[in-house]
Amino acid sequence: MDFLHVFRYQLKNLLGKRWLIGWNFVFPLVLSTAFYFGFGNMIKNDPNSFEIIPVGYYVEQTDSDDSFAVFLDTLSDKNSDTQYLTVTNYQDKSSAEDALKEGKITGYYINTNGKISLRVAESNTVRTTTLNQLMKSYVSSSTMVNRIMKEHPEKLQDVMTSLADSQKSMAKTSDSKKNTSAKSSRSIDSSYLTRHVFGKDYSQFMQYFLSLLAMSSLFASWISTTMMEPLCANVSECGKRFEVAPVHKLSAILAGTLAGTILQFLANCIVVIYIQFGLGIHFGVPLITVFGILALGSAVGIASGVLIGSICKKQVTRILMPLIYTMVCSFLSGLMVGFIKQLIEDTVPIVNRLNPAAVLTDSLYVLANYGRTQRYVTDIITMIIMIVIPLLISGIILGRRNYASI
Amino acid sequence: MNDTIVQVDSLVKRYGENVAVDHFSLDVKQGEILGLLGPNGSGKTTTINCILSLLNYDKGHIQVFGQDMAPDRQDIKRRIGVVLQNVAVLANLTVEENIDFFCGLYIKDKRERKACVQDALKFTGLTDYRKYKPKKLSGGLLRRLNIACGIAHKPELIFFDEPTVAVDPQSRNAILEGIREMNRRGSTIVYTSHYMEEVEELCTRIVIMDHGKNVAEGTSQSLKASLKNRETIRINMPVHDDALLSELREINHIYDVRAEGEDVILKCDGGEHNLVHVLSTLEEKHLPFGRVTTELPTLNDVFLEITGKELRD
Repeated sequence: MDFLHVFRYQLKNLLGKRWLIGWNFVFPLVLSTAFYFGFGNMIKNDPNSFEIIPVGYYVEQTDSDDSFAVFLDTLSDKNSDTQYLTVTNYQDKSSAEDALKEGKITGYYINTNGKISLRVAESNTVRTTTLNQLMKSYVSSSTMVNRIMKEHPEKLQDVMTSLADSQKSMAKTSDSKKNTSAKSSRSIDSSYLTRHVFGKDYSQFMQYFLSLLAMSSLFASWISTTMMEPLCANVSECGKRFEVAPVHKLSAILAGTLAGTILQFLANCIVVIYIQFGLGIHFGVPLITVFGILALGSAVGIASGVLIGSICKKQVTRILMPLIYTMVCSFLSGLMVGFIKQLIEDTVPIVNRLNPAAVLTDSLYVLANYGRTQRYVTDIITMIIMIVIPLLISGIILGRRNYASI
Repeated sequence: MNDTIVQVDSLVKRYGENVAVDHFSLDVKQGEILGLLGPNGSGKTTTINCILSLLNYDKGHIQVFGQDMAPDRQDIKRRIGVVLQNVAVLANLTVEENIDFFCGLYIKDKRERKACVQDALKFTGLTDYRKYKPKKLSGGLLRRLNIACGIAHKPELIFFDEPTVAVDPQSRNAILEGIREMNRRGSTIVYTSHYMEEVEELCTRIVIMDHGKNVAEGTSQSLKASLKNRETIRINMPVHDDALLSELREINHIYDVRAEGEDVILKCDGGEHNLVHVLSTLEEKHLPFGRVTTELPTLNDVFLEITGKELRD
């Protein structure tokens, strides 16, 4: 009863705060619009975003065994999870060249008696590099198999088994049908993939939008400190009135926490819907899952705010601390400088593990690019811990029965 | 039957080196309006906060309704109402919602609560403003809302902590009348203030605090009766001399006569018709005099005599 009573009025009281509507509901919309105008088109037309690559194949001269054609058939199998290419066979080089000039294909492979070469219109794009890597991977594997066949034919079976195991292992780390990395990792160098290849329809610029969602979630800390004001005697007169009443304080704070989380979750949902349907930028993750992750994110923000609110007594610190906390965490997750998160990952990765904004963006990023991997699960568990621990600490602090001074 | 509702024994509360409440004892009887009077910083609010278990304390013992008071004594808290010195309401709730919110912390039954809220609105004259948000209310109405939030659950014991600070005289009178009415309805009142007139007018018993100590206690009459000076007569006399002053000092019950410019001030230690006796003496001597005033002692005089300083600092 206390819980529902406090919940209802906390929700009402918070909804009446204009700054909350401004910062938690409107500001993320404004910022996402600014991001959209800044690099929305780059996201939509990102050269790095993965698409099935149209490629040509021209056999100049060949022996009877065209194993590269088999390799290409595998990579262009429409019924397979591993379709990376659409392959057009050309009977003469000039037709392939014309198709290349007209942009119908990204490049074409030339098979000259088993020696494979690649011709592309422009170099150093992800597509052309991928074609090149695919070719190198084929050449490397076929060279190794040929050598073993010649020198140690008795070990061929072991090598083939080893190659198959290696492929399975790579596939395990990125187990998703839509996952480009998983697709590519079966054929090309994995270190190259982790550094450069994003998920299907995914751009590195999405990092800004992910950080924006993290920022929006952490803004919830502001809601918490506000929510706690009328519940703590050492903060406000209302708090005194509240604490002389026969109510269970922690239950009331939990009610406020729930009210705040719901409000922030609503704000996050509005931002996601706006970005996805208004701006046409997709997160590469089913909407319901994004909502689920953001519900956790909202709770993380609220829990952090409860901790801040339980420590800080002065009004000014109760306003500034959540703001500083939100902006520092968001900055470190790449809100202003996209590569900062990667820089931290390379130098002090523990910061990314402890930064709630980085964990939230990472969960969305990993899910979009690699599927429900162990890392994704770790991110989710980390967020749950980031909710539980601050609430427990706050509970200990706020659970005190009376004050030394108020 | 023990009719003591609040019993405070030798309460000590320190803030570091500063002793805010110093072995303070108090008992509040059922049905009375007890005034806790003292200058700012004398420890009144700290004492109230200790009684309410908002503050911990260093020494002493507090009982409310015959039971030891503690922060988790919800059964005791349920019977107490508090009207704080500063307005304590939620800015984004309406008048009615604010009363309902705080009343709901005490009363779970919706129907009962609704009736209490309506009663509180009516009692404080806020019915017409029930849909207003606090920022739309005047200072006086805000104070009334503050009171409504503290008393809506019909508590048996109500603490008023300087409820009339920064309130216009009209609202102040309304508040004081409201407190009297609550007392008539059966609530015991503890009223803290540094306005002696209010305390004198309202309270059935008074405790005077200074430096965290109980310096005097009793009814307004008994406190004033404890003073030597029972009446002060001031006479404007442009012409007076020492001989006259000596003669006036000879009148029965006049124990002190002194001149202040054109005024002669006489202090009486009791008796009746002192002014008549003084004026008769002056007329007999055909001495001219102007404006004559007489003052009965106030609580400030009590405080001044006990502590050597004015009550209002």
